[in-house]
Amino acid sequence: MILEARAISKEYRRGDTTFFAVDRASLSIAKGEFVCIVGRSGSGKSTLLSMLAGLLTPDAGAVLFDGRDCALLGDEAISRLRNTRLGYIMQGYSVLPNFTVLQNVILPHVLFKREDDPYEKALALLDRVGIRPLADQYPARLSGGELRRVSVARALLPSPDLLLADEPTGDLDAESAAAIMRLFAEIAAAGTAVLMVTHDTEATKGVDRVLTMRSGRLAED
Amino acid sequence: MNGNPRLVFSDIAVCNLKRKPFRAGGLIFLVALLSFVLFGGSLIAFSLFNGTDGLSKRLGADILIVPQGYDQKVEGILLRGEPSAFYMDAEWLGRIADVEGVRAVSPQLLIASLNADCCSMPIQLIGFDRETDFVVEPWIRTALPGALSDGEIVVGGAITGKVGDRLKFFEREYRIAAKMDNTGTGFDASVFMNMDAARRAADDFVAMGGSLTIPADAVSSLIVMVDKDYTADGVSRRMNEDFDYGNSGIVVVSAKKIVNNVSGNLRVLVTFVALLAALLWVLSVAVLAIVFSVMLNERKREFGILRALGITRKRLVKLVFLESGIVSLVGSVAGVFLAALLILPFRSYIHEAVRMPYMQPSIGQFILLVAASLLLSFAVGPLASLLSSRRIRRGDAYAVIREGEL
Amino acid sequence: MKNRIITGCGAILAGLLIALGPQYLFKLCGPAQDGHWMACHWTGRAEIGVGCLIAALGVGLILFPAVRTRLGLSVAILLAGILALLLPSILIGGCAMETMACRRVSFPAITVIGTLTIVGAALNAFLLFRRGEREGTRA
Repeated sequence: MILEARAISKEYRRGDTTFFAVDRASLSIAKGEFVCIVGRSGSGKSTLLSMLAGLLTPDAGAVLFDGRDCALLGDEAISRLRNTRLGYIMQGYSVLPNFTVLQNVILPHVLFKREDDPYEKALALLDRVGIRPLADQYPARLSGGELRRVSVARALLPSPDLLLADEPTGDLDAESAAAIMRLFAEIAAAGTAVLMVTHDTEATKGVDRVLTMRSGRLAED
Repeated sequence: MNGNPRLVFSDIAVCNLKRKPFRAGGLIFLVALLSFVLFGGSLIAFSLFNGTDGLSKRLGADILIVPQGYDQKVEGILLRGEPSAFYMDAEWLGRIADVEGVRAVSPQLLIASLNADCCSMPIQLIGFDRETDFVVEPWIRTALPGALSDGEIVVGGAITGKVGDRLKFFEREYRIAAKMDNTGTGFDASVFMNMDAARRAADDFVAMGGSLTIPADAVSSLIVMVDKDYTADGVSRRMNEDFDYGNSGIVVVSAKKIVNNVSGNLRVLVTFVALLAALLWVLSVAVLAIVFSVMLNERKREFGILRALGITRKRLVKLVFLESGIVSLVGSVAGVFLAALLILPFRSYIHEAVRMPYMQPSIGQFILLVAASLLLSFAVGPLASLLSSRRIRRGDAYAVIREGEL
Repeated sequence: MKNRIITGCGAILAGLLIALGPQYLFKLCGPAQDGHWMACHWTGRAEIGVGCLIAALGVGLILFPAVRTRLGLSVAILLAGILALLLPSILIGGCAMETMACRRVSFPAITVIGTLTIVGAALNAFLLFRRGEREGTRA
């Protein structure tokens, strides 16, 4: 198992009442597996994904990445894990406006010291998602679909063991969405585990496994 | 062509600043203004201190005696090198020498040159008596062990020309026998010659049609050194009593009083500059801290993305310091450079404007001033981002998920 | 285009100030009493030439779009700026006294404008050089 969640919970406070955004969710994903979590907006999907990425600490339960408990790792170790073995596509647009498309893709590479040159690989990834001609443009000039593809290329730069994607096809036209799904399937076939969350039940075609999230509870379909 | 594709960590900070040129420019301007005032103010203050120091060193006399009505002129000659000419009877030399407590007296003869070969403005010519002099002599003895002949002059540091060059006054050429160091006082713009040469120069001036009547055997002023057991105040009081103050035709001026006046004025000025600089420093730290803090809220999403990409908290803090560090470094260097560029070349202009002894610091002092000013104004940036860095370390400075998302 | 106009106008302004400033704005010393001109007068004359040269090079910066041409013009402005500084300090000089108008105001003003010209031209040359290099390798 590359990723395992054991009964993780996260509580939020809204006014006087507290409620579970995620309530004892458990799941495990193997290498090369393509898993999809479907749920309506507000069902806790993003919170779950943030906990799986180590960005939020669960109030209860444990997240194990490659057998290691993330709660026990220090900031340096968990950041390195995210940087080298995890691809994380955030919800909405997560491209930094002050950098060109190419710089955005290379960005994860400079956050930790490395010897190799990411330049050729980044260009190849931009080619793969079909926006290589835009490499030197600033994000302000790109369309929504193009921005999403920049995030995908960036998430794939470290050749991650696990790709987490939060609504990667949200507000995309059908064609662009289908292209991204095809890309994910290819990546999964090459050995990377892919976990994506979506509210779009249409988008689950060709996925190995579909889980449903309802009011913080996770259930196998 | 946009951006350098070969990114390194520090480029993240550079890109962030470059893409917000007005914000970065505004912050840089603020720091530059601070370092300009800090460095410019301290450079001028330092020069004034140096000048006052030079004045009290160069002014070897304890008491000056000048004709009545000319006591104000003395200050002009000493502090600003304003050429003057006034005369009194030479017999005073003997009478002053007899006063109790007087150790040495020496006469000086002042002539204001109306034109010289070099210049279209008056220069102060000072005749002095090498036998009895104790003011000019100590400064030229090493440079000029022999006698100063009638055709030779000693020039102050502000007069161009080197030893051996010739300068013309009233149609007569003189050879520069020695040159004194700059002191920032009125002596810098003066030309010294022996008594006979000075009298001859006065004759030359009259021969050229100048109106100047120097009574035979006249002197302009007497410089007095007090015996070390006596106070200058006491001896000048005695002189005033002995010579019927107010009716004698002479005035006794305490040299120390002139120096004290100058350093008193100076203290007020320096306090004012220091207060202004301190105020500006606090203001800069505050403004930058507020701007950075506001920026932090604006950048929650950006920091959240960087965290998701695997930046450590430490490096995120480093990024914030790097950005503020670049801003304050560029600002500090620009401010110090501009201040130096505006103040150093205009030294004579400033000297004239402040009407006080003014002497720029030596290279060593100058480097020290530059370093201190750079350090103080550079510190503003990192200090201002301390608050932001604490919020990042606590973990509430970046949004992992957007508000409203679950 | 915007950069070209800014850098070009900067050079033209600096050149005009160097050429005309000593004559009209921050005036040099007048003739001595016997009517002959002192050294600063001739420094001022020479600065007219150097200033006009800098201004003309600045016009070139606006007219020529090619990076390499502008790089060459910037280097020429830099060298002319150095010449503008050398004239009053070493090559010709000025009056004998520091308190004379030329050494109190005119020459310091030339020093300030000349130094800013040199720094600006060096910066522009550096940026153009880097841009030329990048466009060269990535064309």
